[in-house]
Amino acid sequence: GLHSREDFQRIPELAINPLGDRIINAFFPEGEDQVNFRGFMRTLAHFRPIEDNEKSKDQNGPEPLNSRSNKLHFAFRLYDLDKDDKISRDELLQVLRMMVGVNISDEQLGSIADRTIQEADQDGDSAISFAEFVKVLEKVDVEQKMSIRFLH
Amino acid sequence: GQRSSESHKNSNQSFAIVSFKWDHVKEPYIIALWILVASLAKIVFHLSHKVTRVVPESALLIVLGLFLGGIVWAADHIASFSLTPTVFFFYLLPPIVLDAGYFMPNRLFFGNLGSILLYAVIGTVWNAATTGLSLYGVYLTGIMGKLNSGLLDFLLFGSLIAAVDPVAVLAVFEEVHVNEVLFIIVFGESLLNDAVTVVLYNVFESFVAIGPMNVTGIECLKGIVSFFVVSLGGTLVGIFFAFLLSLVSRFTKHVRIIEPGFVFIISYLSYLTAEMLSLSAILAITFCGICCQKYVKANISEQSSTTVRYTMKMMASGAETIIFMFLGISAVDPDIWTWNTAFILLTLVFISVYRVIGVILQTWILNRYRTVQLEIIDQVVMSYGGLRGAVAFALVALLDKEKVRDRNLFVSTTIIVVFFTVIFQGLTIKPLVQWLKVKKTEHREPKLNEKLHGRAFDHILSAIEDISGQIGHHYLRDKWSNFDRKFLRKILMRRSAQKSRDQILNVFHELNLKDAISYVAEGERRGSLAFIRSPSTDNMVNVDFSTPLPSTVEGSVSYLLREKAGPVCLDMQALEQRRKSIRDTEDTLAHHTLQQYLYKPRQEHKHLYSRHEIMHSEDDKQDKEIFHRTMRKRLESFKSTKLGINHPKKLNKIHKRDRGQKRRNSSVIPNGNIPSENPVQDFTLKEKDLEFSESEENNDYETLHLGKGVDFLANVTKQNFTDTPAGIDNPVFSADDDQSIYTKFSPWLSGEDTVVPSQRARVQLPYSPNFRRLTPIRLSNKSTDSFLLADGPEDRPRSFLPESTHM
Repeated sequence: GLHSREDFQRIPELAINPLGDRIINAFFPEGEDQVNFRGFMRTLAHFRPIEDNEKSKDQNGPEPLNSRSNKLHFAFRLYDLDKDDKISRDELLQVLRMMVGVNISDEQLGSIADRTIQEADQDGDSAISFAEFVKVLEKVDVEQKMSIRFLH
Repeated sequence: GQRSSESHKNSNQSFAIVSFKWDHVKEPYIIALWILVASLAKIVFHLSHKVTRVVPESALLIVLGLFLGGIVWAADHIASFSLTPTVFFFYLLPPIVLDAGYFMPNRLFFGNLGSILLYAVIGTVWNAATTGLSLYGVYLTGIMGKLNSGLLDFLLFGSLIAAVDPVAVLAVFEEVHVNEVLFIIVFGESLLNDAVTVVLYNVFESFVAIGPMNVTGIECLKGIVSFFVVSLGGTLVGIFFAFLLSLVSRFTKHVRIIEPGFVFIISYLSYLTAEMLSLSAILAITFCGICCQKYVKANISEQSSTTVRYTMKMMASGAETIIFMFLGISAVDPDIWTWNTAFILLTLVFISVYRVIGVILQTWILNRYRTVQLEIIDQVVMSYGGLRGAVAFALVALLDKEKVRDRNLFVSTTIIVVFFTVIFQGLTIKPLVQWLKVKKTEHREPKLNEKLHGRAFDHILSAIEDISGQIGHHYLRDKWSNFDRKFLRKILMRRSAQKSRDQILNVFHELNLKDAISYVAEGERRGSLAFIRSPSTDNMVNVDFSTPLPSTVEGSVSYLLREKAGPVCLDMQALEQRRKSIRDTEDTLAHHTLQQYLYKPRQEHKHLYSRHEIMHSEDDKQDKEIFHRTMRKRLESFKSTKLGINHPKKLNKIHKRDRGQKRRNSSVIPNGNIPSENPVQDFTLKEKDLEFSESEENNDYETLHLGKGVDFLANVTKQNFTDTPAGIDNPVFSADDDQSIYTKFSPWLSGEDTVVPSQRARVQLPYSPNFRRLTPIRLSNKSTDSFLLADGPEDRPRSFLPESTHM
């Protein structure tokens, strides 16, 4: 079977999740409105917990979907709407606005965005590239934060 | 005294005008006095905010009880008041347990039922067995001196001291806001372990009575069987009475005033019936509350629902207060005091140690099967939060001195254990949790990026959990929903309630009502139009009536934090740390702002249960904001893909048409009910689910709103809809709004704009039966407020929809 966006939007909890709609979009391949089971599972596969034996198994083959790097990439793609592999200030602002209440003024939000970029930016282009993103989050336990244990 | 005896002397001769009839009123008077004292004590405690933040109320009450008991004893040299088991089990415990069951978050409870059962059954048996056996073992070594107890007595003691107590747990966990899974596990465990405790207690008590010689294998087998009988029997009794209660509530339309009474009486009967059949009464009343929640809340009127909630909270809170106070008082009774250092000390040690071991073992097993893991900090809280309380005390007071020779020793030990857990553990659990939470994140200062993206990860994870849970189709839950929909609802719910049972619309509606009411309230507060002109950041008519923005005052940032610090506020520590390093205040402010205003992920922000408050969580605000925003975006994208152009003019038409209808059909019924309004005639409805029968009189204005909203919904979601209501333009939501519409409908007058459009905005969400309950928000939250606000427009012709209903 196929899932459409409406199927996801019916899930009530997603309506009150700040990043809900973006996450829904992440399931759908570029420009399409339907996702089949395979595509759905591919996306979910990012969230499998990382197991140790997998790491050593296959150094030459393609990286498994649930590697740390791919998990981070999933999140990165949520921010980077125009897919230029950089999170610009505007994109960051958009995400910030989504994740923060209405009590913060635009100026405050802007300054937070500026600082965030400043913290991560290493090559001075006022945007966060994927490499910078990875670097600034190196101490975060991504494996734990982005893993679900699925039954069966 | 004097007068009555005098008049007594003269009674033959004259008529006593007034007399002092103390004996006449003695009993109820004393009861009333104690209740009054307990309540006054609560007032006094809460006068000092500092004290209540550190010391849990239960501890304070025990101390007060000790104090009062001391006074009574000093005055009379007898212990005239104590917590008798009868009073406790018949009058004090049922309200508390009913309150727990009625407000139980069902989805969470049944979702974690496996874990809860494991802890409740296996855990309690483990605790009882290990404690009893260890004490016996130590006794055999002779350290304890001469006691009159055998193995069975020790096991009996073990079984009554092992049970985690719901009253104590709740009292303490209120102060420590833990995540919802942890809460429900500890809480559920404390409720369900009653069956085990009852069985073990009865079994061992009768074993002690019949003598260790006569305990054969048969008896043990009978004991095991009785566990199943008691627990399942108790549950069935509860479910039966829940069924009865829901059924009764279906027919109480014309006796609204006594509706709340039914809830209490029937639940209490379930308790007593189970008790009569020697089944687990706590389980009965718990499940009665759990099962009847949904139907009763659907059937009874909002006012009754509010009454039920408030009364339940009041009784539960009052009962708890009295329990703790009397625990203190009962301790002052020199007759029962027997001191045996080794015994007491070892008991304390054993229960703590074995609980920790038990929790670790069980968690280890559970974690292999659970989606959401239980971490170390959860286990610590679980072990440390396993408090013993009044149930243990009542059980031990029930022991017969003849049969259990060491009864007094047991009583004394129990008292000390209860005091220790409630006071000491209650006092220290909050700092402990704080310390642990901080310890996890303390090793370095998190950067802005880490905070932000970390929070994003949390949200992502919640979403994925929800998606996978939803689309994965929980088999049992689906089956239950289907069964519920096909049979139970038809029997137990009022027909009108059945139709409006879409939880999402309810929640949504509720949020909008609050919205609208807040508008009015805010408008009144600020003086008419002030709030309209407030700058809004995302084109919503946004009323900023929450906390003021943290103004950029450097020194006061930490002050601000202290003010806003919740029970366990991490930001305090973070701030302290940051002050040590050289950072400018702007940076601090940025961090603080982010910390303060980032939306909380799902796991953290729901405070599910509170004995002392009806939860109007501010998290509703978060939900509402996000919900509005999401819906607006979806609406816009929907519009742009399917409709093309906005039709702002149509909105006027629609509104006018509705208004005309309202004026035509509405009339005010004295008791405030509104006849069913059905604009269905004008709109084509294609989904039969959304049929509203006109015949059924419907005094639920909830359905009224729903009718309107769902109509629009139905129409817009159709692929091939007619062009009538195509212009779903919402002045509140649309970015490129038509100012004329906006000024026509001043939001504070017709909160309709916030009610109906919002429902309309839910274009993508047709009526779907399989929704899990989002949050069990009840419309009646606002009943009282609406009455306050309703005084004005009540007599006007009901031309505007929401005004007439909730203002």
